Amino acid sequence: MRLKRNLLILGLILIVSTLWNCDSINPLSETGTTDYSCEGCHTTKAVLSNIIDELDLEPPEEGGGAPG
Amino acid sequence: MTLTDKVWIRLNATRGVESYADIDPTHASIGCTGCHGGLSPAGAVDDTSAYRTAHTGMVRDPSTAGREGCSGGLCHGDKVRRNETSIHNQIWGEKAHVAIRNGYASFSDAPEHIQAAFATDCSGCHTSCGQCHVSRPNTAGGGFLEQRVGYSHRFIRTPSEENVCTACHGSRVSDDWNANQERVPGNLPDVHNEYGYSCLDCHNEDFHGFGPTDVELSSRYQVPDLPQCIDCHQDDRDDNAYHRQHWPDANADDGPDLACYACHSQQYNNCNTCHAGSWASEYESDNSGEYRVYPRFKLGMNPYYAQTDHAHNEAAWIVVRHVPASPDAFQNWGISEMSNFNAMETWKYSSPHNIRRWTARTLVDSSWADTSAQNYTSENCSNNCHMHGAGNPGSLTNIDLYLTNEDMLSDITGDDLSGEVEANALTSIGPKAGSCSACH
Repeated sequence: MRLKRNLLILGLILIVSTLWNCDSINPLSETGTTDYSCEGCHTTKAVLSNIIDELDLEPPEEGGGAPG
Repeated sequence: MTLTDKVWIRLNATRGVESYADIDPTHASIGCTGCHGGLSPAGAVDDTSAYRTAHTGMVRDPSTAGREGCSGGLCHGDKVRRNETSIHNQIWGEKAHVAIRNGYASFSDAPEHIQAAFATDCSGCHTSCGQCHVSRPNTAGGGFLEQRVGYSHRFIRTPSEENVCTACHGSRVSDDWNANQERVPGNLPDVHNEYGYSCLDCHNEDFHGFGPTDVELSSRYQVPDLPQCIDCHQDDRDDNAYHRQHWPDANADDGPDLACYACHSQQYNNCNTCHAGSWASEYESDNSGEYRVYPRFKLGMNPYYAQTDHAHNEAAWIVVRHVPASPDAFQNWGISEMSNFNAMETWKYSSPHNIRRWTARTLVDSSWADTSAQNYTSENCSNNCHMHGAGNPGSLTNIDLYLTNEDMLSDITGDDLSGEVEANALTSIGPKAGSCSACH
């Protein structure tokens, strides 16, 4: 039981550490970027959330209230 | 939808979606910066510095660049060119109303300050290629159309009704179509909605426009190939006495022509007194603010009946909807009162998207809904529609179904709209006292 739990925690740590930084996964258009790339960030939710929180970016406008 | 969700492209390696190229290989070949610009974040020291660098000079919505956007490389040139002048992009109908009510023949004749104010207060509603085919329109809050793995930031040929069409056309289409009980209590959803149809099943006109001639449009009803009920229901003309009598064919010899909506639509949203630039602060959901929204059903007269140079001229009697105009609507633009306000109706020809077979007009006998053998008699005609009675014209049975001048003197919200009587001279049947002459 304990082994199973430890493996689960280890797995979670690995996933988080893998996703935390933007990686280069759009090499066709961004050969110059080794650590950070458009696609790397925009496909990694943890990074997006971190940036949005850290920079306190504008909250989304919900819209939908227009007279239309 | 959170800001993160709005811009997060979902991948899943186990499902074979490992990069954006697996989602949309065609557009991926252009590369992110090929459309959005921005600077290379190579050398950034952390995520936030990478963000700042990458977004320097970035274009959030490249398709707003018109010919520099989606028609680059001649990919979508024809559609982009047509879209530049389309009614969706340019909202020609609103421009025409602003111009004519202020005394100008066309929007291009209007002075610069009006055109600039329009660009600020009104043009925000127009949309771009990307705001239909990639993300929700900005006015609907933005964010990718599809959140599923393999679909986010995918270019979607046929956008969804909920995320695109009714995200903008909310009040006068969505609330009616879906029977929003807060706005139209007691209504049922449009029967076409109930049977699984969506906007594009009927609206197969080209939303990208038809080219330079679109500039001449002053109403959406002039858009070529706008759908009509008879596109599907032509064969229903002879299926009952009311249809035979009132079929809208611009031929009064076979009985007064009624728009299908006159019998088959339910109550629908109406609006009063919206002011440019300030509608949000004027609106209160309980209608206590200056900008009011309320359900109403009114029959009026078609100013263009049987005039072949006008679209939708086949029905003498139409459904009219109050639109949120008032003589001082453009006070924020320095226009205290529009000089030619009465040139356009404020109770306008309308096509409510809330069609039912049985409505307060057609369900003459409550048993009809459960049988296929309706007993159509001339007596039944008077029950739910025709005005009749004696004495004070104001007390005629069914008089409140019709738009009269009294509706404007003090409308359902208590607003004094008497300044609009002249504007609606052709759609109103006039004062209640003269209502008999509208038909006889």
